[in-house]
Parts: sequence; C-alpha cells; structure tokens
Amino acid sequence: MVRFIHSADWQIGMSRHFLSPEAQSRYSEARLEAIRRIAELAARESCDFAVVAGDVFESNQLDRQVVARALDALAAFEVPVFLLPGNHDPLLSAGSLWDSQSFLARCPANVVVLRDDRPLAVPGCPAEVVGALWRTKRPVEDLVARALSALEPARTVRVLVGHGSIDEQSPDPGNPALINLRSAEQAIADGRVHYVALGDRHSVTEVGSTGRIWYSGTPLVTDYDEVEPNRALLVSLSPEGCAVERLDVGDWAFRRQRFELSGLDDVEEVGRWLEELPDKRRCVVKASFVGTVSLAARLRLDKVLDEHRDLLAALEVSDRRTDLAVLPSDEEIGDLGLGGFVAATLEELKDLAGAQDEGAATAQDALALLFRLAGGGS
Amino acid sequence: MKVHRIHLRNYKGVEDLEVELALDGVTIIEGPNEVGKTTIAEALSLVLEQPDSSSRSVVRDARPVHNDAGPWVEVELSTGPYRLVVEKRWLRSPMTHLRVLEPRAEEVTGRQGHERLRAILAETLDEQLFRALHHYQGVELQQAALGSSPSLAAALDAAATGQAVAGQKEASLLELVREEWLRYFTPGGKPIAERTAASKQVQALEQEVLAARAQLEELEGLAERHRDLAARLGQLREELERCDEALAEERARSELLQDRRLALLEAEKAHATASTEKEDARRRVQERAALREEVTSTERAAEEAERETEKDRPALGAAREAVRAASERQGRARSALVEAAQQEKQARGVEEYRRRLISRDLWSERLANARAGRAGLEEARRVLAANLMDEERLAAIEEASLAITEAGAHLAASTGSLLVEALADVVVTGGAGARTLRPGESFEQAVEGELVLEVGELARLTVRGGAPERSLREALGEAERRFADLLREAGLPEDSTVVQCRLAAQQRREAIASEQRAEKLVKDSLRDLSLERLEAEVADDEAFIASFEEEHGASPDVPETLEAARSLREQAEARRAAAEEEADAAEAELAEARARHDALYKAGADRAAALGVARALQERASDTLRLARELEADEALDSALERCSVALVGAARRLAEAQAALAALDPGSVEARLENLEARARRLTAERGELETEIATVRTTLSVRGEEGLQDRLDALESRLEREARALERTERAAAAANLLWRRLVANREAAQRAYVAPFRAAVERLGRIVYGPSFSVEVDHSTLAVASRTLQGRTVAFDQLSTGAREQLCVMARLACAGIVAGRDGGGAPVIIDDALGWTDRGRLDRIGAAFRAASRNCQVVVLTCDPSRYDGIGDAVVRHLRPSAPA
Repeated sequence: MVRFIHSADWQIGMSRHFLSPEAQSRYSEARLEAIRRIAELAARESCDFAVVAGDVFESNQLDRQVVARALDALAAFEVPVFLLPGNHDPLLSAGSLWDSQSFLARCPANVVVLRDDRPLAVPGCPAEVVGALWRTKRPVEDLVARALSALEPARTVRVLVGHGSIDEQSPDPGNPALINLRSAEQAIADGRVHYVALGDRHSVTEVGSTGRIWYSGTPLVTDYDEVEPNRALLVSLSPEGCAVERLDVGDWAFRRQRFELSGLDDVEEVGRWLEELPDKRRCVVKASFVGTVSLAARLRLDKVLDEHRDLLAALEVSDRRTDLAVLPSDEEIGDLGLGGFVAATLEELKDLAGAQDEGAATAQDALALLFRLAGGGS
Repeated sequence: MKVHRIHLRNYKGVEDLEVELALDGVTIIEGPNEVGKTTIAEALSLVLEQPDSSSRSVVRDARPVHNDAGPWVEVELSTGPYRLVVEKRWLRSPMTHLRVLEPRAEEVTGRQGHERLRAILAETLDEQLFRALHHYQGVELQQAALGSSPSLAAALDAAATGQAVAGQKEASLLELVREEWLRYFTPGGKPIAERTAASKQVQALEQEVLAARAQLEELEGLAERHRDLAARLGQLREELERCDEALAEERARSELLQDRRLALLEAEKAHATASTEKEDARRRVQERAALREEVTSTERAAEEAERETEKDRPALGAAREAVRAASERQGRARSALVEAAQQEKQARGVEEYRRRLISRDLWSERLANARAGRAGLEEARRVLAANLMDEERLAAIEEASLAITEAGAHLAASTGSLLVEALADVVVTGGAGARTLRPGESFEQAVEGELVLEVGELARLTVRGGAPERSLREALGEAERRFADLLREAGLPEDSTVVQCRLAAQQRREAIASEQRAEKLVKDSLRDLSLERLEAEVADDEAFIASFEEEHGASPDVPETLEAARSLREQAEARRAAAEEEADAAEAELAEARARHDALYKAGADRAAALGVARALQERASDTLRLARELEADEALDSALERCSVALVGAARRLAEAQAALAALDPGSVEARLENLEARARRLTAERGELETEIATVRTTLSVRGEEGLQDRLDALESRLEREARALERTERAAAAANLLWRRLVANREAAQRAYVAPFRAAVERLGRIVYGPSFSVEVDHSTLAVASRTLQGRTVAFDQLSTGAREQLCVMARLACAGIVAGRDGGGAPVIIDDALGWTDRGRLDRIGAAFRAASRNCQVVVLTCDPSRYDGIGDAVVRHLRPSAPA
C-alpha cells in the first residue's frame, strides 16, 4: 500500500484579465499557497510521493521570477514530486521551461520531471511512476496509450501520469490525441498499471468504472464553469485496492449569477445576494441581469454594484445590455415636472428606449442621464 | 418686474436724485447730458446684482465725484408676487436693507438681505431678459439677445402651442445637459481629446497584444521548428548511415567491375592476337596458292606469245616485197617527170625568145620616135627662146617705126642733115661712132648743132646745123627710144629693121608649129611610159636575146614563129603534167606499202618483246615458288593455318565469357548508383551541416527568449487591454447617451423655437406697420430671435445692410415687442429701458414711432432716457420726468 497525492493543472503563471492588478497579484499568490498546502497535506497524510499530471506551468514562456517562486513553493514538499509536462508546458526539443536555466538551476532535489515514457522507481518506496508526457502542443496520437503499450506487467505498484481529454467525454471526437479509456482500463486489468492520474480537466472527475482513473482537478479555481475545483486527491493504492480521497486546497471562488429584475425589490435582492457572499476578497462574480426596470431601479442597481465592486476580487457584469431594459415609469416622468421641449424629448427617448433595436440601450442611458440631471429619484 | 421708483445718492455725478416711474406705459426721463440719465439705468442693475461688500470696478466706478461718501441706491419694485424696497450703500459704511412689502412683509439686512433679494429675483425675474431689454446709450446698436431668454421662450411657447411651458427649469436642465455633453464632446461636437486618446490607447494596446501574441506564437513556432529540425536531423543521420553502407557495397561492386573490365581487356587483346595470327597464316596459304597460280599462268602466257610470233612472219615478207616494187615504180616516175620538166622549160625558153624578138623591135621603134620628137622639140624651143617677136610686138614695132619715120620727117623738115656717100672705103668717125663705108654706101645724118665726122684719115668734117624745133627733136627721140625698147624686148639687135622684125616674127611662127609637131610625136611614142623605161625595155629584151643566143648560138634552131613555139611549149607542159600524176601515184603506193610493212614489223617486234617478258616472268615465278618452298613447304603452311584457327576459336570463347561476366555486373547501373550514392552522401552531409547549424541557432534563440517571460507580458497586456477597453466602452456609452440627449433636446428646442417665432414676428410686424405702413414685414431667426431681414414695399434687405437709423428702429421695436409678449402672460417680464436712442431717426418717422411705443407699452413698463424729449413727443400719453442739474435734496 502506497499513499500519494494526485494533483494537476497548477497553471502557475496564469492571469485572469478581469482581475485588477492587485487582485491578480493575490490570485497568483493563492496559487502558490495551494501548492504549499498540498505539500503540507502530503506530509500530514504520510504520503510517499506526489504526482502532478500536466500543466504545472501556464506556459513555456514565463518570467524567470514566476518560475523561481514556483520552485520555491515546490521546495516545501518533503516527498518526491513527479511533474508531467502537459499541453501548456510541453517538453519540447528546445525552448522548454523544463530545460531553462531558471528551472534547472533552482529545481529542488526531490522534484522529478518525467522526461520519457520509462517507469521510474520512486525513491524509498515500492512504486513506479510512468509519465505520458507531452512533447508538443499538438500531438497526433494517444500519448497514454503509447506509454502503456511499452509497459510490461508491473512488479510493484505502478502509477501512470497522463494529461488530456478522455475520448468518451470529449466534445471533439476527431482529435487524435484523445486518451482511449478502454486501453487505459485494459492496462489496469492487465496489471501494467494500477492507477492512472490524469490532468487537463479542472474539476475532480472519476473516469470509467475501475475506480483507478481520476482527474484531480485544479488546486485553485480558474474559471466559472469548473464544477469541483480547489481540490487535490489523496490516493491510497495497492494492486488489490485503491482509495481516493478529496483534499481541499484552494480558497478562491468564481461565481456566475443571473438575476431577473422587475423592480426596486429585485435590485435590493441583488444587494443582499452580494452582501451574503463569503470571503469577498477571494471571490469573483460575473453577474447578468434580465428584465425591465424603472430609471430609479436602474440607478439603484448601479449604486449597489458599485458598492460591491470594491469589495469583491472582481465583479463582472454581463455585457448583454439588451437583457435589461430600463424604462422610466409615467410616475417618474411626472415627478420630474418637465415641460416644453424637454417633455417632448423625454417622450421621444421613451419611444426609442422601448424599441427592440440597438439604439434602445443608448436611449435608456440617455433617459437615465436626463433623470439624474433633472434630480429624479432624489 | 416693474420699477416703481429709484433714488440715488452720492452716485457718480449725482448727489441726490429720485425718479418715479409709470408702471404701465412709457416714462420719459428727460434732461441735458451729464445729469445722470444713464446713471439711473446703471444704478438699477447695480442694486439688484452687487452685494454691498462688492468692490468690483462697476462699484468703484459709481463713486461720487464731489465727495468721498459711499454710493447709495434705493429702489422700489414689484416682481412676481413680491413688492419690495431695497436700499444699498457700497464702499463706505456698506449697508443693505431689504423690505418686502408683499405678499408678506419681511425685512432683512446685510448679506442676508442681498441673498434674499437674489432668491426673489431668481424665482421671479428672467435676468437674461432684464439685461436684453436694456438699450444702452453709447453701446453699438445690436439686437437684443432674446433667443436665450427663458421668459420669452416660455411666453412664445405658450403662445405657439398653448401647452406646458418650458421655463426656467427646462433652461437650467438644458444647461446641465450641455455641461454633461461637454464632458465628452468639444463645443464643435467632436470627441474630446481624452476620449480620442483613450480610443487610441486601446487600439495601441490591441496592437501590442497582437504583437506580443505573435511573438509568443513565433517562439512556439520556433519550438515546433526545433522539433521538426531535430526529427529531420535524426532521419538524416539514419539516411546518411544507410547511404554510407550502400556506398561501401557499391564501391566493392565497382572494384569487382574494374577487375572484370581488365579481364575483358585482356581477353580482347588475346582474341585480337589470335585473330591476327590466323589471318596471317591464312594470308600466307593464300599467297602460296597465288604463287603456284602465277607460275602456271606465266607459262601459259609464254607459250601463247610464241605462237603469236610464229603466226605473223609470212605476212611481213609479203609486205617487204610490196615495198620494194612500189619503190621501183616511184623511181621510174620521178625520172620521167624530170625529163618532162626539162623539155617544158626548153619549150618555154624558145617561146620567150620568139616573143622577145618581136618586143625588142616594137620597143626600139617607139624609142627612136620619141628621141626624134624630143630633138625637134628642143630645137623649136631654142628658137622660141631666142625669138620673142610675137605678133603683138611686131605690131608695136611697126607702129614705132612709123612714128620715127613721121618724127624724122618732121625733124628733117626742120633741120639739116648730112648725107655721106662713100666713094671709097672709108671710115667715118663721129657722130654715131665709127662706121666703115664701102663705096656706094652712104648714110645720112641729121645735123643738130655741130657734127664732127672724120673721114678716115682724110678729113674731118665739121657740120654745124641749124637748131630744130625742140619739140620735134623730142618727139623723134621718143619714137626712137620706143623703137629701141621694143627691139630690146624682142631680143633683136638694136639696129634691126622692121623687115628684120617681120622676118623674125615669121621665124617664130614656124618654130611654134615645129614645137607642136614634136610634142605630138613624143607623146604618141611614149604614151604612158617614160623614155628611160622604153630604153630599159629595149635593154631587157636585148639582154634576154643576147643571153639566149649566147646559149644557143647566134642562129639557134628554133621554130620560125611564135605560134609554133607556143604550141611546142604547150605540148611539153601536158607531158610534164602526166609525169607528175604518175609520180604522185607511185609515191602513194610506196607510202601505203611502207605503212603496212611498218605495222606488221612493229607488231612482230612487240610480240617478240612480249614473249621475252612472258618468259622472264615465268622464270621469276618459278624461282620465287621454288625459293618459298625451300623456306616453308606448302603442307607446313596449311597446318599452321589449322592451328591458328583452333586458337582463335578458344580466344573468342574466352572473350565472350569475359563480356558476359562484365555485363552480369551491369556496369552502367553500378556507376550510376555509385555516383548517385556519392552525390547523395554529399547532399545529406551538407544538409546535416545546415541542420545542425540551424538547430544550434534555434536552440540558442529559444533558450534566450524562453526566459523573457513573454507569456507574462502578454497576460499583463491583455489584462490592461481588457480594463481600458471596458473603461472606454463605459465612457463611449455615456458619451452616446449624453450626445443623444443633448441632440434631441436641442433639436426639440429648435423645433419649439421655430413654432413660437411666429407670435414674436407678428408682434414686431404689428409695431413695424405702425411706423412703416402695411407693406412692412420681417424674417426672424428662430434660434436667436434676431431680425434677419426687413421687407418694405416688396423689397427685402438683410438686417446688416439696413441704415443705422432703420437698424436702431428695428432693435427698439424688437425689444418693445418682446416686452409686450412677456408682459402679456403673467405680468412678469422686465422693463424696457431705452437710453438715448433714435438719434438717427428723422423727425417725420419719430411721430409714428411714438405711436408704436404707445401701442407696445400698453401693459408693460417702458423707460426712455433722453436729452432730447422732442424725439418722443409722438408718444401720446407718456409720463415725462425732467431732470435738473443736481442739487442737494
């Protein structure tokens, strides 16, 4: 029985454009913190080693400072760590980060880059690790199948580390690099490997029916659509049995939320939802609004959003402006007490704002502006 | 707003002045210059606008000229629902005192008083209109800024649409919208620099992002390139290895090929040698056979030649005999011919001799005649040469003789004469010389003068005659000279007589006849020949005859006649011709016989020679064959040929084997393959070198650039672009909203203005028609409400083109019309203040303007300040206030 950490998709060096420089800086730091957390858990759970199934780095072209800080975080591991080059950071014949001075000079002794398909014995442990590594960004074959085909039945516990989409789950069946699930399961059945540690999918996912093929997901959320990010897997493995346990490592949240608005009450509900979000400084929200509101509600919404924008790591508002129509109510217009040519203009803009065309949004904005300048809602 | 009264103290040149104004209609404030008319209008503005604490230039300018007190103003006015009195002093002991009388009494002082006043005014007074309705003295005449007046706008709006008014609030809003709009646009409507800059910034960032992405892709491409290059290098190395192996193999094959080539060369050489040897042996066998054949054939030829030689011998003997016979015949013929020729020559000589004899006689006769003729001719010519007495001369002498006779007669008649008659021989000397006279002879001589004659030695006679008449003597002399001359000419002696002369003439005639005869004889004898020729002919004939006779004797035996001689000669000729023919025939026969003989002889000689040759050849061939056989027997030659043939067959087989062995290696393709492989190895090696260089370059580039953090840079740029693009979008969205709002507001206001310009225009025209008559009309700019043009009697003139007076009148009327419209609504509006206007208007027009003033000011307040009240006499019920130079109240 060996115990190890299965992680993947660290994406070190990743930027999110919607983050402010300050938030981006914290987000990058959180990524390194997650790695340290994994190292800590590996020690706490008495793991024998750790594998990272590809995309350790976001790119092969990273600033040396980024690489240096990543290696510094890796130094926190007390057990051997096997790093697999993935599609973001393939081990190219030249120009790879893996061969760069900044990596080689600082790479801690316990960190092993899987540079070929041969099984590597894990120091101090009856286990082998085999890497189905990426040598190009656009492979033309199933790298996992290829690595498996060269294997004899294992004498010790053997873990294959791979990266990419599984053919049964891929929306792109024509891709020649898809990992064939059946051949992987067959290798497990043959005893050539005992566990397939996969990366590429940022959500924890079990694949197939063996219980031995898993995506660990990313240790720190990277997008709104990720189902179960912020995890690493603790695997207890023997030829006879395999237990996989989820470990929490990341502490950021990406929330996408859609609100239907019809009046001021709904706007207030938006305010409450935002208010109740936990740990706002590590939370990114992408909000979208649908419906028709009065000028006053619209002004209130802007105010609410502005209040929370500063608290959250980022608050994105969907750009689909036609989703939320802003039309002044007769009462609002009456309250303004405007006459003459201004009243005529108000009527015109109302008509424009109600139309179903591209000018409607501008007309709504113009109405809001008029409303504000005329002291409406105050 | 309406002003009830205004009170000034220590204000500029005014010490104390209070004026009450009519609330409706026209108040004319009249006074000379410098009494403070304009000051009243200024003071009204000052008290309404400036706090007592103000020390602005307008306030300082209000300082009194005659003391150092602070200027003080008090005004009582109604505005909206308010009626109030405000009192202010500035600069010294500043104070403000506001008393609101209506609708609720209140009293405020100081700063609060001023602020309360401003609040009331802001609420009730259209200050823009208030200012617009002032028509100041000294200011360039211009149209009132009525377009920006909310009151007028509201009034016109109401007049035009009857709907909700656009008043102060709307105007303020419009201003706010404009301010908002100006946050995004320049007054000219273009995006402000910040927006343009932001847009450019976003574009620049987009470009940077693209560039960074391209760099990254380039680097990734370079990595791919490195992988491809490395793969290619691996392939290349393998290929090169395979190529080298193939090359070694091919080289071994090539060496084998070379060996086989050498073997082939040797086989070829052996084959050539065997072939040559066989050829040699065959040649020698053939040569021996030829030798044998030659011996046989030369023998045959010698025998044949002998036979031929024998065969010709009898014919040659016959020919020789024929020649001899012909030669004899020819000898005989030649002798006969010689004889015949001799006889012919003799006959010919005889004939010639005969002919010469005849010829000599003929020639001799002719020669004798000619000689005789020529002698006669010479004689006659000698005579003729001596005797010149021709008939003519004879006649002349006859005449001269007659003349002498006549003259002598005449003379004789006149002179004496002496007749001497000799009685013995006597010599008479003198006179005409010596003369011998024989007895009986005499001579007579005329005596002239003295004549001395000596008669021998006997006597001398001197006879002295008379002297004849000179002319007679002369005539006689003349006649005698004439006669003597003629004789001399005729060649006769001077003493010749006429008879002698006659005789001489006779002789001459005869000589001439002789000459003619001789000439004829000569001519007939000579005919065409000369005398010498005749002599030669004769001599020739004589010589021939002499020669013939010398040969044949003086009397040869020859035929008597020429005819006979000729006949003989002709016979001889015929004989000679026959002999000649015979000689020719014999000659021909001989020639033919000789030719035949010569031919036969020559043929015989040739055959003999041929026979010699044939025999020699036969001998030589036999010798050669014999010698050859001594050297090598015929059988030895045949066996040698046999050996060589066998050897050649062996060599040919070995050659074929060598060729087959070489061909089996396919030498062409071996070389082609070898060359190709060598070329390929060179090419692959070169490519490998290039690849290694390029790989090194790419690797270096990748390792240097890979650590530059291109991905981080791209991420940073993309984040920044995202933020700035969003900011720009928000700004643009706000700008679009502000623009839409502003444009629509302005458009709607303009539309409203266009609608309400009608009542304003109607008001101006109503006043104008009072002044100018019914043809007056104006065009009004809808946005500024300025008069654009005036039409009178159908003639339209732009405002700027109007005379100063007309422009001033229109300015005043526009203000009056405006005040009337505004006042007509709610009693609001502002007073029209006209300061010293209409100075350019003629007197006649002033009355009509007065009527217009009255019509316009029915429910509004009009204040006219003038130094010339007569200008406004035309205003029927104006209230007139006279100002006097100030004096302390």
